[in-house]
Order: sequence, then structure tokens, then C-alpha cells
Amino acid sequence: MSVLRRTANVHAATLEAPRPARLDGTQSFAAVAEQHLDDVYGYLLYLCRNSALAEDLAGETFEKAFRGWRRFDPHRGTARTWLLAIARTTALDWFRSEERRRKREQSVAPPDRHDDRLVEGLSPQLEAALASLTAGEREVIVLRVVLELDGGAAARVLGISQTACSTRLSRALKRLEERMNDDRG
Amino acid sequence: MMTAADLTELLRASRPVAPDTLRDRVRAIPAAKPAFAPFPTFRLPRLRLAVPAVAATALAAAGLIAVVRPEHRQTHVVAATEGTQRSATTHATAPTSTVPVFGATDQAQTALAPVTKQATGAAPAPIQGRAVDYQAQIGLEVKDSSALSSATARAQAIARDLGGYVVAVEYASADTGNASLTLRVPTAKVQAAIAQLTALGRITSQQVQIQDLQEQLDELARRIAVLRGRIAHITILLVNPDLTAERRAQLEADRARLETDLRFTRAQSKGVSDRASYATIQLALTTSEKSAVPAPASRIDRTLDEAGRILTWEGVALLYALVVAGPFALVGLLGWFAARQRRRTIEERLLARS
Repeated sequence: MSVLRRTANVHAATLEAPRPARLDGTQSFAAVAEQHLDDVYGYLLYLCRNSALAEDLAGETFEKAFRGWRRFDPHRGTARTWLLAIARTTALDWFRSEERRRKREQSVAPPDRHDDRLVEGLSPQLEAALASLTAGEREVIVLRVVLELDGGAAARVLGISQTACSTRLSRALKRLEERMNDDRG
Repeated sequence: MMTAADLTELLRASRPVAPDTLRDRVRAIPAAKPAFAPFPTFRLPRLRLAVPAVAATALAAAGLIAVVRPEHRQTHVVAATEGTQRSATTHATAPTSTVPVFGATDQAQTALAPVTKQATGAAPAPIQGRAVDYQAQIGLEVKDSSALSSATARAQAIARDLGGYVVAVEYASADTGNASLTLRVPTAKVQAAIAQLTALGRITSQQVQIQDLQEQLDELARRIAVLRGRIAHITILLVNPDLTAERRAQLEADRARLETDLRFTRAQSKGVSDRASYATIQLALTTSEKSAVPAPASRIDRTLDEAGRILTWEGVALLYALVVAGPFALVGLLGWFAARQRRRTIEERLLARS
């Protein structure tokens, strides 16, 4: 199957998905947090491949979001996109600090801790294939495929253009497909 | 063989669910911390709203200022015009004029002490019994073009009635009517002439210069007498029959030279007498300002003009600001792009390693 066809399938699936409700000004932070908690947690879990870390980062994300809740402008994007962007920044900050820590404690640093079971219900092969991808590839998959964000929203979260987002998704899916088929073969 | 569509289905079928511990932690956030901003936050309006808003503000400001200011500006313009005209036409002569005053033995204008007096139309009289060069410049304002025409004709008639004559006349009645006349009237009647001429309109300027010519005339008269005496003496000498031919020729040449000098001196004397016998009056007539300027524009026209002027200045200020701030903004923009690109590259690397 060509890359183009695969992308088309993903797009078709995404279009069918219900769009997230926009804030009408009456929703409280608690309601928004409740509505999008699973999405934020799922995104961070895919990105870090560590449930405890994802939980910590998700908590931190919502604390940050609560502090900046007054600055949130529903006309500039959905609450989900906004929360996911905060989650990404939080995760990147954590990655940076980890990178610095690893460099500082190069000889004695423990290896990165990853869960063997990432998500309930995924096959071990798919878990392994996902684990072989980079965090950048996993995040575009989780945003576009798992959380079913549309191209524009995913691009906004990643801070890239919509075309770049589509290209990145195609490559990530291709690699995932290759890994899965290699494992089966 | 797994396809991307199969993978998509598998991934979607098992969406991660947040654990209860996290859910409880997030639920506790709004209860634990009040949602207030420590500092007031200002969000810049989006460009698509900001540009029309700025344009509307500029227009409204121009309109408001134009509505408030036109009367003031109109007054200012008129005042400025009046000031300009006054400085152009009167120039320290109206309402006061500089008039030289002669002492009994004054010989020339340089020896005179100027004093100022109110311009009333009355001119200083020539000194009785002495030859003087009398020059007057008078500026008059008349009501309109019709009055200008009649005043010009009347001024010429006054000069002729007093035994004088008109040297030059210039008359124009286009947008702003004006006429310029050079008149010569007998010096003895100059006061009467000035009195009649100044009655033709409102005096805007008046200047009189009187230069004493009597001493120059006396000197020329003395010189003529001396030359006559010399000629008479030579004539007597030439009557002598014993004169040698050479001496006779010498005397005749001398007499011829003296006669030439005499003719020249007499002509000079006549010229000075003529200057003294007629006074020169330069009369400038202008129509009054109100009839010269077009009818004032309506309030709406003035408001629109004013608004246009203000908008032009706003545009100029904006252009100036762009010219000044443009390079800095460009550098800032390039810096921002570079920083963003660098941040993205770092993030890409970070995510590729994780």
C-alpha cells in the first residue's frame, strides 16, 4: 500500500471523528480538565513510554493550564489543542532536563526507565514496534491517529505546518508498519 | 501483513485511560489553588482586528479634531494672512510713518532725524522759500474693484487739476485688484494733493521724503555767475586789437570752454529747479481683503479639508515610524524566525533521541 493511500485512510478516519466542542465561555476549568484528561495522559504516555512519568507530567500540565486558564482564548483554538500544547512543552522541558542530567552524570546515570506494557489492549508486537519509533514519531501518531486530531490542530500542537505534519505522520506510519511486518516475518 | 489502516484501528481501539490517582490529582487543582493572575495580562488584539481598529481610530480622531478645530483654524488662517499682508504692504509705515523733519539749515536727507507720527493723511509741508525734492508714497485700500477703478481715475484727475501730470499708471483687477500710479504735482500744492488723494480710500501706508535742494541751486547759481564773469572778461580782452594771433586763439578757446561749462551748469540748475518745482507721489491702491478673497467654504467643506489634512499628517507620521522602525522590526523578525527554527531543530533532536 502506498504512503498516499495510508494517509488517505487516516484522513478519512479523522474526518469522521466528532470534533471537540469549543468552549462557550460557560465551561469551567474542572469540566475542561475532566473532558480532556485522558487525551493529555494518552499523549504523554505515548511520548514518554512511562506511565508514572506520564502521570506526573499530566498533573504538571494541568497545574500549568490552571495557572494560565485566564489567558486561554477559545477563538484561537480548542481547549484540547491548548492543553496538548502545554503537555508537549512540559514534556520537552522534562526531556531537556533529563538530557542535561544524563550529560552531567554520564558514568553513573541509570538507563531510561520505560514500561514494558504501554497501553492496555495493545499487542506486544505493536508495543515493541511503537517502542522502536522515536518520540517525535510516536507523538504525531498519538495526536493524529489515537486522539484523532485534525491536521491543523495537530500541526498547531507540534508547532509545524500542516504539510510537515502530514509528511511526518506518513513516515511514522510507514516505519510502524515496517516494524510490525518485520516482527511478523 | 499489517496495513496502516489496520494499525490505526488497533491503536484507536485501545486509547489510554488516565488512572484514578491522576484524575483525583487534577480534580483537586481548582479546589486547592485560586485561579487568579498575579499580574493583569494584556492580550494583543489579532492583526485582522487590530488593523481596522487602528484605521477606524485614525479616521475618528481626524474627524473629531476637524469638527472641533475648523473655526479656530479659520481664524488663524485669516490672522496669518492679515499679518502677512500687513508686513508686506505697510512695513513699519502704517499705522505710523517715518517722516523726516528738517531743521532750518538742513542740507541733505542724511542729516535728518526721523520721527514717527500717526498716519492721518496730513503730510508735512515743503519748507517755504526753499527748493526741495518732495517724494511721497501712499498706500490706500478701497472697497472693491469698482471703487478701485473710480479711485484710479479720480487720482489722475486730482493731479491734473492741481497743475500736475501722470507719469505712470498700472491697473489690474483680477483676483486681487490693485493699481499703482506715479503722479507729479507742483510742490506748492503737494499738501492739497495728498489730502485729496488720501480721501480716496483707507490709508494703509504713507511715507514722505523731503530733500533740500536750495543749497545745490545756490551753488549752481554762483557757478553760473562766475562763468558769466569770466566769459565777459575774455570778451573784453578779445576787443583789444594789439593781441597776438596766438594769444587771441588762446582766449577764444578759453571762452568757448567756459561757454560750454555755462550751458552745462545752466542745464543742471534747470534740472534741479524742475525737481524742486514738482513733487512725486507714488500711489498704491488695493481692494480690501474681504472682496478679494473668495467666499468662505462651508463648515462641512472645512471639516473635510481639515480631516484630510490630519489624515495626511497621520499617514506621514506612520510612514516616518515605519521608516525608522522598519529596519529594527525586520531584524527582530529575522531573529525571531532564527530562534524559532533553532528551537524546532533542538526539539526534533531531543525527540529523535528519546
